[in-house]
Amino acid sequence: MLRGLAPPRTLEELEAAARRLHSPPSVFGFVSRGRRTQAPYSWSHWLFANGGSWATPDGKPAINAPAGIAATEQYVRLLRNYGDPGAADAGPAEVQTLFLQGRAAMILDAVSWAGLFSDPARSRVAGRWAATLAPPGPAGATYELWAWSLAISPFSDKQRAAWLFVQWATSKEIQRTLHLRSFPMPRTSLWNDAEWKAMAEPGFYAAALAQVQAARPIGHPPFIASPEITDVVGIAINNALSGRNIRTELDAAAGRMTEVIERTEPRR
Amino acid sequence: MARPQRLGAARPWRSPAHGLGDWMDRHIIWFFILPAAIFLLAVVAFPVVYTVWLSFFRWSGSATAPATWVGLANYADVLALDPGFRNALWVTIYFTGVSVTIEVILGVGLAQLLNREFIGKGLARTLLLLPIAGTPVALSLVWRNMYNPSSGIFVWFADLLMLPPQRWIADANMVMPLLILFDVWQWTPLIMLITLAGLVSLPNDLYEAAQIDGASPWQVFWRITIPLVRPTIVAAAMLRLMDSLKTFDQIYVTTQGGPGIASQTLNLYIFEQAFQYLNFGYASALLVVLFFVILAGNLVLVTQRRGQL
Repeated sequence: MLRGLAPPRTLEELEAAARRLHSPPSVFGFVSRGRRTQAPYSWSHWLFANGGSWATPDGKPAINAPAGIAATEQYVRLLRNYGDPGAADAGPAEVQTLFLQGRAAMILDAVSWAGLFSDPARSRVAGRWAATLAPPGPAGATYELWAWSLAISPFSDKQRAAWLFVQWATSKEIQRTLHLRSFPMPRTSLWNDAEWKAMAEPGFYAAALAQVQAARPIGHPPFIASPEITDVVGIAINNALSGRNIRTELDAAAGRMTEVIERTEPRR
Repeated sequence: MARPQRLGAARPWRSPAHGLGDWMDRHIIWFFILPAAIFLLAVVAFPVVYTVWLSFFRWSGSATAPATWVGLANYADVLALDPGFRNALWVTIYFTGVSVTIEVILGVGLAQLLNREFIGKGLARTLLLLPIAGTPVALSLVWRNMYNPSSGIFVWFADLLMLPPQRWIADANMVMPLLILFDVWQWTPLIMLITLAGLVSLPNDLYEAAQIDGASPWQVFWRITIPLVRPTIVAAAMLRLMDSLKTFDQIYVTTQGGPGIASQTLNLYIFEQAFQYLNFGYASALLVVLFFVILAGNLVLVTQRRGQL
């Protein structure tokens, strides 16, 4: 369904492709998370692609810097003009469903969804989708890294048992089983595994490998009160999706972010 | 001849050897209420006292970082109208005010309709009672799907009526009326049920006298029925008001307080503060404030009771 378009290599090309492919109500050009608690995660790609960041090195909010405003303008424009009408309510389940039903031309989201998209039992686009690197913006691209981690509580009475479990869970055999079921695992050997390479679509494999080797954890604000700050930014993005002034919303969000940081961060 | 006894001089027989059992016998009433009292203390009194106690601290639920005493600082934050609280208070008043009013009007009307005999009355009553029998979370999921802006049934209705495409539940201006619609659909039957019970118990002689005096049906309704059934309606409204001010599962499942914070009621705001941001002290202070909001709402309704012609 690419209609002669090459995969977009910049954010401008992404927007142009979304415009070409957007034909509501059957197909939407581009879908991404827009719900208050979820939007900042996806939006962070645009933030860093425009050269912005969550905070300055000395811990002050940077979301309302020019880069943040540009990022929000681009993201909101994409979703308002070429997204689905429910963008402001869209979480992972909603955008996944749209893509699985073949109602979304493009989606920017987690690498681990590849297996779901290729599963003929649940996906109408199995075998008909392709993937490329998340497009860079004016300041390049910083790829997001997010992983489930294992930890052992210092309060546990069974630390040895927990440690043995951690060793088992992260062993090559167990990780390989999960990796082949398309939960990407961190072992390099698994990414070079012949069986997995045969299952993955070539374009997806190359893009995912390139991204995961250069990825950094940029998807969430690097503060103790990360959920609260994520929500603060999410409210700004949601209000912008409803049509309110982006600069005003981001300034208000930066103010609230400062208040939360002062309340929860230890003094530097 | 037996020794005569003075009236009223009878004394209970007491055996000096059984002190404890005798004491228990005399205070048996307290032992009967002890299980209920313990239950009330543990399940009702303790959480309330603990919440009020917690509202004077700042605590993140951590086992290693203890709670710090802040006195009335949490209440000062609330009363200084922190923007989140102000928004939540407004959303709560809007949601409860509109939905309870509509529910009472519709519920009383439906009860009046069901208070007469007609074919299919039993079926009508059963169908009308179905919404309150449903599980709130399951119903919320159904309505969330109906309101879905891409694939919900309201999209289909709008197409049929040739309305322009709407964002439905993703629209900050539309989300509250949609949630009110859902609430009215679900809880009007409760008001109807309680009012119907009140209507059925009204005496017939007043209606016969009104008929003889030539009163119109409208006059009968406003001058006889409503004043007599007023305490029942107010009781139903109070029940509904208390629940409505605490609405959580419906809104949490359908919108999670979104888009933005357009549908974030006070209870949702408190939940978020406590269990997502881990501000337990502030959330406790908010809960105390919510309690007084509910109390105020009930006091307003109590003044409306009356109940005479």
